[in-house]
Amino acid sequence: MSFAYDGDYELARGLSIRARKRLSGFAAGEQRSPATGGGIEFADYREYVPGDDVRLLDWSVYLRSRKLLVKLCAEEKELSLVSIVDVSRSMDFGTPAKLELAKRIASVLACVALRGGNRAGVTALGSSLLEPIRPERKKLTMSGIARAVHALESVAVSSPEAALRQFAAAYGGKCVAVLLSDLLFPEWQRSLDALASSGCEAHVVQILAPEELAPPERGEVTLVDMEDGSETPSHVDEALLARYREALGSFLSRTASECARRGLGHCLLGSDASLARVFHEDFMKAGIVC
Amino acid sequence: MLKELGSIAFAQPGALWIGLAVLPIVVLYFLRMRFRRKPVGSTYLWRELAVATSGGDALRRRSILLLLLQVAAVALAAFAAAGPSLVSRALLKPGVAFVIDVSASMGSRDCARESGGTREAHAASRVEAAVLAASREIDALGEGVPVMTFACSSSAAPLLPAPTLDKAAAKASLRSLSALSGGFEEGSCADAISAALARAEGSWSAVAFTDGGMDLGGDRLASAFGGSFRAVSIGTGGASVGATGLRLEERAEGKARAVFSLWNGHGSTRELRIHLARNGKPLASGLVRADAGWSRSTLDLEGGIDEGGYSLEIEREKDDIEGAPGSTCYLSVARQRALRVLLVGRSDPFLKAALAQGGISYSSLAAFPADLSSLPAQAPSGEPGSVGAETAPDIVVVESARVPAGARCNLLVFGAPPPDAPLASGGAASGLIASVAGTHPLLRFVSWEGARASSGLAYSLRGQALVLATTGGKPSLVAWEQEGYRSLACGVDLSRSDLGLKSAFPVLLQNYIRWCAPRADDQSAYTLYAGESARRLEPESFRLKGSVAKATRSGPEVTIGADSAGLFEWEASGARGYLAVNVPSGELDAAPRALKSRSPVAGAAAFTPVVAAEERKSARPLGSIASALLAILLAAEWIAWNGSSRRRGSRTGKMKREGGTA
Repeated sequence: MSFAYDGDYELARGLSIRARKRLSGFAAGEQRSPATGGGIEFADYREYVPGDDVRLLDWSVYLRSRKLLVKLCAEEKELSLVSIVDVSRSMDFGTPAKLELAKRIASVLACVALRGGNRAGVTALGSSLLEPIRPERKKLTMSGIARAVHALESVAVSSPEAALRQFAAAYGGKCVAVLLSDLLFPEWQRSLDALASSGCEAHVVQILAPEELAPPERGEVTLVDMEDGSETPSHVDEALLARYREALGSFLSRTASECARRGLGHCLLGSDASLARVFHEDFMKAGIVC
Repeated sequence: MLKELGSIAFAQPGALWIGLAVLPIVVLYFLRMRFRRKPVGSTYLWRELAVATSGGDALRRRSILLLLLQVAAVALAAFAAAGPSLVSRALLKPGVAFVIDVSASMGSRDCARESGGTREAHAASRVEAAVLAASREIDALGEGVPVMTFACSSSAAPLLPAPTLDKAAAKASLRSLSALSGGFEEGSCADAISAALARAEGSWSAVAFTDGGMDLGGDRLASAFGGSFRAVSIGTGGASVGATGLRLEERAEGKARAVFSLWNGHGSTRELRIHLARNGKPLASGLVRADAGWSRSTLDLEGGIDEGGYSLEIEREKDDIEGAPGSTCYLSVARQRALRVLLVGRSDPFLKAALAQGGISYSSLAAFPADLSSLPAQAPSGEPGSVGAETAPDIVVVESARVPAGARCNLLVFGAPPPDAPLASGGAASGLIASVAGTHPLLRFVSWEGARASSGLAYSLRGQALVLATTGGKPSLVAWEQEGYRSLACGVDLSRSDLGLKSAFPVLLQNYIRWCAPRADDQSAYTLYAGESARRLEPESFRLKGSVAKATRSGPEVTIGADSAGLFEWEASGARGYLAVNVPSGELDAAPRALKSRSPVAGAAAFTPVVAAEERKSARPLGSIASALLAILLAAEWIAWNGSSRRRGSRTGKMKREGGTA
């Protein structure tokens, strides 16, 4: 069975999920953790303090420099990556649709995680938290992931915040979470609060359609909200567009700063961005993969 | 007068089809304003903007406002193009004009006086009786009948500023009437009444209250009212005597004789006692024989003809009509000074020859004097011309000399006109001299007899002036008036023309002199009939005493006259004299005569207009109002459209500035 995302999995080669926080899992895995001590790969030195295991002293360094340094090794633990895909109707907007990109990113991220010997899961922010792929130890197949992600469809979402609080309750501190959303809903700040309260290392990948970044409309139009069907009659002219650009710029800077304030990573993508660039430039820069 | 606003009429109703242009405007509006529905992922950001900018509601309000303005503008344009007019209809009852004869004969007191329904012993004047009769007729009029009142003598004077429906006001306008000393000049009265009727709406009938002294028998007045005219005869009858036409003649040995005309209306010869006085002092008395009708009589005086105001009074007899006019006639004798003429410049012999006549004294100067009022006296002391200190010439004749601007005098100029004249030199002119305006008094009896000018000046007009004659087709004789001074410019060079040899030249000169200074002798200069006026060259200091006689000045001339008979004293530069005003001879016969009544106005007691009411349509054009409203609408639309664009522009600019600062 072949899927549209099949080619995307090639992107996962050579990439691994980057975890900045200590993972709370106990199971040893292949993911290199910032926690030092239990691993075999050298990470760093520090000065010896009484109580340290003398077996960790690097005697060769002592012989050269007469300093007692303890050799630190990165601890390798098992990591769970959970992609949270916003499947609200607004994500269905754009050419290409924002949801399409979100689903491809989620599937590739899952592939990256699985290739690194980690767990991968995909959840969706519907009217409640949907979990098409739970991060379990059993080995998932790429085609299974692709099928499950591909099956995600946009739904009417009443409260993304509630779904995220469900996520926090279910996955609190146990995973690296990547929220894929446009954040174009009034309670986006409370939703970020909910995500931050999960204790997970979380990234917010904000996806906006090219039509949202630079609306092509001119003249007298009635803007119909895809979420709730509400209408906003507007005379779209250069003046209003300038104000829109100003409001959008302010909104994006606020989302970035609010994410940073809550310890969340933030990455802005256009829905027409190429996946290769997303993973090899944007996500690397955002510290999601390395 | 019942008025109602009617409908709106259109001169070009086809233009109303222009109004259909509103349909495409409305259709285009709805096509343009049908907002396209555009789904967006979220209106989260848009909603914030919509709140900040009032969303599309303000836009829709503005669009609706613009649509309404455009529709109204098109409708108004169609309305204005159709030539609208507001047609109002008014039911007008025919008006009644009350014409009261206030000529001299109406002062006769031969009418019974009535007051409160009881007859009084004292007789009332005919004017009082006319006012009473007119008041009764006004009371008898139905409601809503417009009324005008006129007092007629030498002219008709409206007694109300406008036709009135107020009977009390109409009657009040008659109360102060009294007889004047003038005659009833029907022609001028009819003209004045026609002018007043032209300003009033509706049709008019007239009732005249007169003793029959109309000089045209009422025909002209009747025609002014389209024949709807009725005359009410005032006066009870009787006969009167009177004197008029007083003159003084010299008889042998330097003594004088009074010559006068007598009117005897009694039908038989009578002996009348007459008294002649000068300046109020008796001169002579005597019995004169007056044949029935008009007769001529004389009264010898002991002295000569002296200056002063003379009055000749007839002693009335008991059977004469009381208060009948003309029992006294007046004469003013005032020596007339010679007409002062100043010759400036070359003093052509033809000019001097034409001026060498009685009643004219002239002097010569080489150049135009700086001050005309300070010239030396021209006539020997004791001559009429030297009376008074004012020696300014009455006429200045300039030939081949420069005339300065601002010369305030009657000016006859041969050559270049003064700089401030309404004409200027316009090149040379030569050829045959011919008249242009043949009716001007200056051309009276002027026959050019083939006069030619071999060299001369043509004039070009630059103001109000009248070309009287041309030389070779170019204006060469031009008359004009400035500040009451009368001037004549002649471009013909007398030394290079045969004009001086023609009879036209002295006639033209005489006409000019009489144009400037009307002819008058010692006894006619200040003797007039009531209602008449006379022009006289008088000095600035000329004044008439009292308020009965009137004098109005225009330049060097004074127009004098009075409506009442009598002697009125005047003074000028220390000299004194009298203005004698007489009752016109036609008013001496005070016996009333009935005028023929003209239908359809008949029946004094119950005056009923023939036409109950007349519908009158009046149309008031509305095109200019519609055009003005259209202009206002277009301006409002421009402001609404431009103002909103400016606001949008200013917001954009502000955002750009803020962006630049950031």
